[in-house]
Amino acid sequence: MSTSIPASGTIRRSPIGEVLARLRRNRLAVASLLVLALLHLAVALAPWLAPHDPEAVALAERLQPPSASHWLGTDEYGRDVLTRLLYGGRVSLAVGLTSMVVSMVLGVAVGAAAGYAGGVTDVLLMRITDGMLSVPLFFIALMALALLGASMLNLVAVIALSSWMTVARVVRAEVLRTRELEFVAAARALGCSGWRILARHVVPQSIPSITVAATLGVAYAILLETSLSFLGLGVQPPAASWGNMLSGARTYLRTVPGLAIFPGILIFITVLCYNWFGDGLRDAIDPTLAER
Amino acid sequence: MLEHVAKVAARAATVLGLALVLAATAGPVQQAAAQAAANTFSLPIIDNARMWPIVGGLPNILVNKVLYSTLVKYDAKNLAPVGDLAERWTLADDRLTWTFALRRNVTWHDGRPFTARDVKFTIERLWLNPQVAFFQRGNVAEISRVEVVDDYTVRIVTRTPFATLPVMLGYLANILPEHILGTYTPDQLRNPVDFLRNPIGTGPFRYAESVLGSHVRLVAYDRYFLGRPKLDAIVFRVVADLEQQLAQLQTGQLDLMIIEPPQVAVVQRMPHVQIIDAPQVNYTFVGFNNKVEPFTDRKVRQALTHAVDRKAILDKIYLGKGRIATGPINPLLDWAYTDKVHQFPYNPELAHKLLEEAGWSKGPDGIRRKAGQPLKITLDVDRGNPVREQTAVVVRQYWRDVGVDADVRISEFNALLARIRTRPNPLQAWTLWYITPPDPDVMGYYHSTGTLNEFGYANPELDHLLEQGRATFDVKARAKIYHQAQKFMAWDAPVIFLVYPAEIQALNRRVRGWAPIGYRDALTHMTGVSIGR
Amino acid sequence: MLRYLIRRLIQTAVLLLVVSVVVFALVLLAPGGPSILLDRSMGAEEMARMRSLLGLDQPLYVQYTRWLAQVLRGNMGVSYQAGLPVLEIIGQMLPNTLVLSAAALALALAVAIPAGVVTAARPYTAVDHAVTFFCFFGVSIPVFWYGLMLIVLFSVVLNWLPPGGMYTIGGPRTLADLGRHLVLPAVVLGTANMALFTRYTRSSVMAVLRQDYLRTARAKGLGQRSVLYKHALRNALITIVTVVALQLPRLVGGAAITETVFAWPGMGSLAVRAAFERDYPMIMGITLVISTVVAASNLLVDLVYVYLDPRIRYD
Repeated sequence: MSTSIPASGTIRRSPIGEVLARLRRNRLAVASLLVLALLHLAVALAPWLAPHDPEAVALAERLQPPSASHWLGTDEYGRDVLTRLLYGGRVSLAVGLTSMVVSMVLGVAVGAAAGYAGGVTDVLLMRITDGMLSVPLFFIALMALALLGASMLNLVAVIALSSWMTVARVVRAEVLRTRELEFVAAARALGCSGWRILARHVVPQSIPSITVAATLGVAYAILLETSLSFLGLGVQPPAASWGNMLSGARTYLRTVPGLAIFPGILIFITVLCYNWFGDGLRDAIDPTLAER
Repeated sequence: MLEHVAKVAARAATVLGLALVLAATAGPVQQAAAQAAANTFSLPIIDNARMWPIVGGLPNILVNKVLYSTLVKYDAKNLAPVGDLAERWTLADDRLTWTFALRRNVTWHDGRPFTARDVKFTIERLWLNPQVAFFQRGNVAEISRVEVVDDYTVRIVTRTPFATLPVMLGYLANILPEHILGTYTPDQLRNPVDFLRNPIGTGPFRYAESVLGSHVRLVAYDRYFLGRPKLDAIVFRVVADLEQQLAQLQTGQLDLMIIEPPQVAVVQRMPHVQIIDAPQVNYTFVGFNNKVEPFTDRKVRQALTHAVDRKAILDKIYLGKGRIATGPINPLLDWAYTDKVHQFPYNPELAHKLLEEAGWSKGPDGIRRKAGQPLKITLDVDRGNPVREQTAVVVRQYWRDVGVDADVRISEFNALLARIRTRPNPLQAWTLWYITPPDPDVMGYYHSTGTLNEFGYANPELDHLLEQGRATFDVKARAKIYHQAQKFMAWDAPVIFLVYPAEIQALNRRVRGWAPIGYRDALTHMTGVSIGR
Repeated sequence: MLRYLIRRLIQTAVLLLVVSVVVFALVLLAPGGPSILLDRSMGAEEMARMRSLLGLDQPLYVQYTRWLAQVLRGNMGVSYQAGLPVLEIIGQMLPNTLVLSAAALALALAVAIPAGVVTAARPYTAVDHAVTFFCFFGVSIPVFWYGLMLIVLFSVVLNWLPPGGMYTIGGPRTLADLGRHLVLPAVVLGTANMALFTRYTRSSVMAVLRQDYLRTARAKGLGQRSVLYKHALRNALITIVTVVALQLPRLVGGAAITETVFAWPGMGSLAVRAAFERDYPMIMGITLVISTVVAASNLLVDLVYVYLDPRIRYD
């Protein structure tokens, strides 16, 4: 990867600045980012935007079609669907983002430690990483949730624990590459401590690749929560998540299809936008792939 | 190499494409399925069945209903005990010794005759053998010994007068073949793998094949003692997912499935399927832990009952399929049932008043307190059943409306049941259901020493009534005792009796002669069932 | 090569041991017990008796070592639920899962490789955008939902294909019958992978096409077609083999949901039920077998590398 070497005579932009500039030219990625921003804002403001109490049950008003007071109708408990979509989005996105952050932290820590320390540590950590990559993790995660019960904490832990390995590998490779670069060697010569070099100079180099993995990670986590909801292992009712709303709505698929359509579309759009954005980001970081 | 990969890929694509073409040209699926399933009745089970009636589990129970027989079964109309393997029975004056006359024309599926020795073997070596752990042992634990009088007469002696013995002998109490299992060690009897590969019963259908994860197929037994069944075969298909069951019902692979109220509207649109609201001996409830505050106080229990609009729950969640429960005895047992008991109409004001009287008064935050302690209740429910989940969420709302800081906790059935059975019971309240034998004897559930008394309910007055009921043989006298018991229980409100729900059966209209009762019992009346058209 | 193989086998064995310990710990940490102990009408006394008969009242390490010793002797115990030896059950169900996974994989590759090559040859055209959109669609739709939609459309409404199962029960077990039952689940299980493989094929073919030696080849007058197929695709295959290997564990996991939706008699749906029913021997057995299968196929993939890429040498 030679993208950060400036051509002679041009002003050297920071690698991140260059990436952003390229990203801005990708309309799909920008649009995705906008949609995502809008979605996140909406669910963050749920308590102010939502017209009803998300858990207020009213048996007399169950399964109502859309109306002036319930824009998207009501569910099988007579709860407002729009309200629950907003609150459910908070939960879904929270699960996605939290598990992504945890898995990134884990991945970066393992990858950086392995790459920087080298030797036995490296071999050991990479053995573990490879080992986890070659185990049917989704399957074991499923077992774990079915056995231990699906609390939000378990859910995040299981998703994070099953998705940090790729990041660890990417970061390790990046660390191995940058370790030998001049400015790192210089920093070392100046007497900076190993961890400080790692944190200040080496890890930042891998931020672009980590970001790509992170965006795709969120999409993966949201989808995983949805799949697990199908088996009753997602976010537990009465709390709403898009996953459990979609999964619960399958009972009414042929009678009240609206119940399924809205969470379905939101999951689809969110996952799609995260994928598009992540993909755009990848192209922006590694233009050799995108540009002819 | 490359060409090879390309070739393989092309071949795979061709096979799939071919399959699609075949699918399109082979004609409608229904036709193919119907041909294969001619004169076969199919119903779903959610997991592989184990044809060993010593252990529980719904798939096992269903298959075993048609594979094996019991001494007694229940009438298809009023669920009264009638003979199955036994033709008739009498009780001696000591009120302990029962004599059962057995049918003479019964053969096992391997052709060997069924005799009294099989009965003695099943009861003594299997049901009562502590090394085997029969899951319904509690029902027959009163039996002290079995005597073979002759090949077709057997004497069963109980420890104490036990009026419900015939009913219990019909409840998940399959008789097993002594001539095969007699030589097995207790260890083998716990799980006789060889026998399970080719189980031998006396039921109307004999074992044909079991394909794990797919189905169990039983075929008509020509020498069945009530005559060969009209059906050629019964297939139990392993289908865990309810939506898949619905799709198979619609396309004709399944003839029967049990649906939940949310599915009623879907099934109503299937022209070839009828919906039967089958009564069964059951009730749903919100259980209280009567051993802990605040449920030790009858007024609180009554208030929590008055706070819940059971009519609305019945109408909206059960779609009206059932009736409001008044006690643990089901109206199907018409001779013993009474609704002339204390009623708990929806009345939040009265609930408020009762709670105030009990010393729980509202604080500034709307939550009731007594001696500084908030009235906080966690209501547990099992995951997956829409009706129970919805009930729990709704009851929580009703309780909140009267100042209870109520919450719902949904956990997996196994985890929930294991917690309920922990001693002391760590739960406060939970909503579940009971399916019971068709008899008013509820000692196991509400007697202070009852083995299934999860509510920790103990009341000497009721204990006495239930003991009396069990030892009384005259029907009228028994009915009177149980009327009294129901009155007492309604007033004392050890649990909230919610609903006697009907079992909602979706049945293909091509099926003829199906007994319109709960399908567990209907499966014991399969000889007359046939497939029309 | 032999030394490499031996080292890999030892590593795999260690991995399997670790997996078994983890799953065993999970199983025993789980609240509730086996369903078989929790029948609604079974009293506490029978429950306790059954527990001890199953050996569940023993200390954990005793239970584990007992299990391990059993496994080493080639016996995985008896399923609580089905009452049959775990190995026998798995022996019946594993081939079904392999059939489904192989079909899904074949379908995914059959579509993805051509699609990837075509889009790489003509990037940023309408075709490319359409394929790309389809790919994102493929990875963004929840599997169970997708499956349900196909069932409703192709089985319930159009009545072309059976909604579930593997064969028509009571009918002859023909290949055509299997094929008809296989189409929907294979499409559902294959779609996400199809999308992924297309993306990888596209980017790796594009990367190769830009490389110098291809420019040289083109300059030497080799036609575009021959460049594409001879050089680009061969290199792309290495990427694809890697991705397939990485996806295998996920494919097996995804099979759990697909099989449940389509009532496919495989290991995935079996595992889900076993987990819910706390069928300990079954859970342990399935995990061990699936992990072994995945490890074995990973090993196989590594060997394929050697074949595909002469630059790789193991010693």
